[in-house]
Amino acid sequence: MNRWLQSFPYFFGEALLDIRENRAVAALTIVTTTISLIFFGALWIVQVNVSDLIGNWRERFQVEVFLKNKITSTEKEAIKSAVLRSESVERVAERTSDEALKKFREQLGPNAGVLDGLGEAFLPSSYRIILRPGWRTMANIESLMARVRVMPGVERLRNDLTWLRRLEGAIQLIRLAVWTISALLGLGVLFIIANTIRLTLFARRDDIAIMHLVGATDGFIRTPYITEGVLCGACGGIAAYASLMLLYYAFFLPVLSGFSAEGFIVRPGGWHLGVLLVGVGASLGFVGSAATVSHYLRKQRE
Amino acid sequence: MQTPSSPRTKPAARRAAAAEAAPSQDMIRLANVWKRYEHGRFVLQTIDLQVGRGEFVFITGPSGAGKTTLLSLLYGAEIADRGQVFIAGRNITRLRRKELSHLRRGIGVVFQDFKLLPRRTVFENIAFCQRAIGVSAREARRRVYAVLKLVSLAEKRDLYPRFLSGGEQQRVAIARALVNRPPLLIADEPTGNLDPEMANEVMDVFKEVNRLATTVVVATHDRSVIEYVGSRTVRLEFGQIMKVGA
Repeated sequence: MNRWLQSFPYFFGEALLDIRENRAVAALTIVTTTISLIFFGALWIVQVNVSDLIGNWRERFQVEVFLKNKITSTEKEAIKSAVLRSESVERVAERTSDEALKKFREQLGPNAGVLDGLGEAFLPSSYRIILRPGWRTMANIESLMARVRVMPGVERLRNDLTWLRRLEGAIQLIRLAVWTISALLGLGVLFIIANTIRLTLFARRDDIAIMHLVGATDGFIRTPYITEGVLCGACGGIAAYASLMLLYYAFFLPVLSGFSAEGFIVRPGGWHLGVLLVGVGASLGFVGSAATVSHYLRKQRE
Repeated sequence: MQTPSSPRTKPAARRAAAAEAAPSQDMIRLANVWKRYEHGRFVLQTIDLQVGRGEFVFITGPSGAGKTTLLSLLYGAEIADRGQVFIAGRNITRLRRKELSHLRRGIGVVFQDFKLLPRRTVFENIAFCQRAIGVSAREARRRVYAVLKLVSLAEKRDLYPRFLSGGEQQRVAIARALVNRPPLLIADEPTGNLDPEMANEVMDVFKEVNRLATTVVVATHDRSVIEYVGSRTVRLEFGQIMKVGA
């Protein structure tokens, strides 16, 4: 390991020399990797933001239990304590029929007059169940509702479970699409990097033959080319991150600022995205170049 | 065999290598070696040969006699189909890839066509080989200057091979072969592309190296070179040793 580290400047220097000598091919590889990683990064941003959006919505999710008009105070208490016993419930807020009517009037605003003459208590009283953070999953919500629905004094329950189900289905679909497209893009990048290294190996075949002759081990012969692949991939990752940030701050942010007022904020991914793109680029470069140079050396031996 | 360029070889590997290498007076020993190529014809047959440590030996014979194949067996570029090839007591037909790489660090090889890298300077051609086997940049620089002095090319270290004469290019190739201070130097028709005066210059370098205890094996069909050095010759014909003599 120590010897490998001592030789690292040599590996790095040889990799840079290769890139400089095959600069057209290397540039093409970096550009292609950059474009692929921009798509990958953009998909990742979409997926993260949609997940966040659904997460935020889920955090606001609550179940409303409407009570029967003729409910007894014992039944009311029984419902409340049964709900509070559930570990997924953070708190229960009661809304009397007067409060419900008041809120309804507020919502109607200038049209609130249509409610005149309907009586004071035509809206049922209700319990709003607020769930604990981290417990707002479909399974918990369904289990709680199944228990509450059958209790005496419960008229009906209201929730946005159907929408939650649809959105969770949508995010699963988005995730699947992101992974599928990413895998295809990754394969493309892998193929391009492998091809670049193959061209470099062809240009350096005399060097490699002499390296074998003087007693260089396969590991020593292999490492500069793997370094070259990793460098190309990492450069593609850096360029993709820079491009995405540029696109976000120069174009999307001004356009999206209108939506921000309504609480819709798209996050660009931050340094996590940078690390992800450089890491994915470097990993693809590593795999592509390692596979190619190993194959080349194996063929040389046959 | 010593591997002078790998002073940092792991102790366990050194112990294993020492245990495997039987003590031997011979630098090279070939026992009943056969080699044939894909088309089925035997290039070498029943080759038995011993070369002592510090000896200077010529392998001679007409074109197609098997000289190059014989040398290829000595540095592991080819593997014998039958028989054993011992270099400094180690049977190279049984070495693993990594062990063969380490063994090659103790063998210098010179070719008729020099095999220099055109896009590297004289200095870089030699230093590159040092760096490729893990020698530090500083140590490589020191060794390269020393060996360039030996072949009288120190002042041309920054030139590219295309600016050198054939003799000078061959001397660079020799310097590259000698930079590890190998106990064994193998040369395949090293004077094939040189005029007689340059050929003798190259032979003078080989004689000097041999005087410093390096075993030298040269394949050539150039009688004048053999006469100039005047050492043992092994004559190959049709893949067999026909004559061994002074």
